[in-house]
Amino acid sequence: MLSDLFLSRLDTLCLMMRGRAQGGAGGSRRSRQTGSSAEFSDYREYIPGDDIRRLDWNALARFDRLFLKLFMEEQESLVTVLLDASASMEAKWASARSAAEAVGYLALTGGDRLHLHLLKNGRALRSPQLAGRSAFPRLTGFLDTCEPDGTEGTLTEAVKHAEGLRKGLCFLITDGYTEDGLKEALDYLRYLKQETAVIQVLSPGELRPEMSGALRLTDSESGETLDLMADRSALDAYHDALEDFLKKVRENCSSREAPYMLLDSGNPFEECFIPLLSKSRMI
Amino acid sequence: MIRFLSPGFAWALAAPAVILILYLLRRRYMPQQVPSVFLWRKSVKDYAANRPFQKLMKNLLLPLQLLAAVVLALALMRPAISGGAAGRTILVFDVSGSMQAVSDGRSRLDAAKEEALRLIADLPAEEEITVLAAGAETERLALKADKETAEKAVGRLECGRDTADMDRALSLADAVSRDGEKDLTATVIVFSDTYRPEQMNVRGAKFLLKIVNCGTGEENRAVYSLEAENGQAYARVANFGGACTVSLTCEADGVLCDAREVDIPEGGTAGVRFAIPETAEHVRVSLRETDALKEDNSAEAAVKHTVARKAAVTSDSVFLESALRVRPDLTVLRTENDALASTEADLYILGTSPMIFTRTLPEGGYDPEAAAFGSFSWETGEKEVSGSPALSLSESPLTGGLTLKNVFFRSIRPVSGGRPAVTLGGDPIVSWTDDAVVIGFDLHESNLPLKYDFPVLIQNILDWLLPEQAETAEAGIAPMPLAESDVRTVAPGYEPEGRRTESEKGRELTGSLLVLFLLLLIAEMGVSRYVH
Repeated sequence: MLSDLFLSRLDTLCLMMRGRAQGGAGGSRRSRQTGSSAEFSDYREYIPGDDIRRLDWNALARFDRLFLKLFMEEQESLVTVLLDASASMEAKWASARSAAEAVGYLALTGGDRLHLHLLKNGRALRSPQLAGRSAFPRLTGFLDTCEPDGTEGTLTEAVKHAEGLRKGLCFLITDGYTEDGLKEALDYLRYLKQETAVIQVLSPGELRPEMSGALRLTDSESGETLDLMADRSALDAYHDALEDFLKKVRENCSSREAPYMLLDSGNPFEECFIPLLSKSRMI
Repeated sequence: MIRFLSPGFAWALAAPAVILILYLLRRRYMPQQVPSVFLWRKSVKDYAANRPFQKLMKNLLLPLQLLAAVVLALALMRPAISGGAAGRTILVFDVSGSMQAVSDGRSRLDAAKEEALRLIADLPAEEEITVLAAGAETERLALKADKETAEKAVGRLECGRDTADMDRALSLADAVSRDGEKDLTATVIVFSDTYRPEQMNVRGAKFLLKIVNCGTGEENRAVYSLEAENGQAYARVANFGGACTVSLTCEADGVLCDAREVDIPEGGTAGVRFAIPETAEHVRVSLRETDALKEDNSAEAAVKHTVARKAAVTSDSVFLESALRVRPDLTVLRTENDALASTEADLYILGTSPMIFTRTLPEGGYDPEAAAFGSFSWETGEKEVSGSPALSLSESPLTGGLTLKNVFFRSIRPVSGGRPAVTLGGDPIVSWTDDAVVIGFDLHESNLPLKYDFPVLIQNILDWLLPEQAETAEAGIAPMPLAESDVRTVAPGYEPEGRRTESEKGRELTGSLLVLFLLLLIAEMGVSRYVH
């Protein structure tokens, strides 16, 4: 649960996008798309929270559905948060959830629309589209119902399962345990014209494991076991593997122009998250 | 050949098996859940692929530990190498009486034998071994023999009752060590309870002397003297220890006849008198208490019986009879010349001047008027003595203890024949043969009977003609020399000084194995540190 002080700090910030926004009405981003000018541009479906002055009553009468008129002007963008909810995220769920809330808050207060997808068991569980500051409690309420207990499928499968991904800003919050270092997932999101930022969340036990003796490690997600003699050399080998893995993820992100942030769940979230975003030029 | 000095530690060889079992049992993995084994799987793959040396080091740990356990077990068993250059070993055993002293259930000689057998076993097969027993005489039990013969010789060793003449034994050992064409190093090992290196008195000895002390300090009491005569037995007891009271029994001809208790001060002696039957032939006095050396707790002796003698005297001289009665075994019979033939006596004292002392009467009887007796002769008349003629004594059995100062004679009857013992002015007045003594003057004509020389002269004559005799039975076992009874050995205790633990003739490997064990331990610690 984010503190009010932290949220008040977030109020002074807004998410940055490289590209022009493509959204509905009332956004704060410049867009090539139509806006609230006199020149009509397009329609889109009404989302609760939208400005009702832009409703097209004719379309309502015709289709018995609410549509919003779009004009050539600055529009909001769609911010998508893909939150990995597999079992491996349990150790760092608090930090991952906080990251999702913080990004969501920034999106909502910035006039962006927000979609939250929970990735687990090879599927994506999508939240309702949220807009406006008043939708933040619904965001937190949605997250309250989520548990990181996914044990099947892969992250890439779940990402590909996510629906409604339109061009916009996408935050992939995950521990990143894929063989290809998120390469395929990033390529897919790029294909969907997502401006993706990766927040890799790892626990202190993963970044700096302190083990010794003969251990039988059990994967919390797959149940796979691995017998290991946790001696000095084994720990050295783990650190080498970790460095290689992180380097691979960073390189994949870098090559796809996806900002990369490594979030240590052992650090106090509210002290390190804003600097992390700032360093990645996300705010 | 390798042998183990402490084979009892062979059980320690099971330690490697225990280590192996523990090693196998140790392989128990503690379960631990992790978010993902993704990275661990990769690291194990890299670990196995990129660090073969690590696997080697891990595999090296168990063999190092097993080897260290085996080395330690062998070190505990104290392996020793027998062999090396053969030489010459001379074993000298003190077989004096004190070596029979018992400590911890075995005699000192038995302890010496055991140690000697161990020493022999350690020697090279080609060693020349000589075994000498040092008693009053030195006995050679084995000369330049092999190990088996030497062992048998050691088994034949027995103690005597006399003091050991170690100088003689070591002189013989020195001769043996030099004997032969081979230039072999010689070692003399003395097994004794009292001998010390500073006592060695063999000049120019070139052998290596080692001493094996056999004995610890023990207290002891001994019957060291026993005499028996005429119904009495006299014993002396010595105490080599603290003040005590001992009980002594006396047996005469195997029958207990008397018992006494006597207090003896520390380090002192005491005399005891026992009453024994007059007719006893043999006595034995024994200590009832047991101590370190039982061989000196009793002594045996034959009882001396004095034989009664008779002297038949024809002259009438109070002085003579008084002098004769000094001999306790002599009975004086006064008789007449006529009755001499019928008087049985051991000594006949005939006439007055001359006075003849003889063991036997002549065949024809004694003629007091005759001027000769046997080889003696004399003048028929007395010779007056005037002035102070010189009185001289010849060295003879009769003149011992005589001075004859201020002895005067009124008249004499010089004696011819025989050997003169006393002359007066050149005239023999006392002469003697093997069978008779003639005094050539009347006792009443001299002041000699008033002098102390007179009974001395008479006793000398009696000792010559009638020596004291005692009938004794066969003597028993003589007491042990007093020095042997003192078994308060000052040595610190039984320590096998002569045991070879390191020399060119054999080497114990314990030290080397312990060093190896330490090195293995250091290596195991290093490998373990590296692995972990």
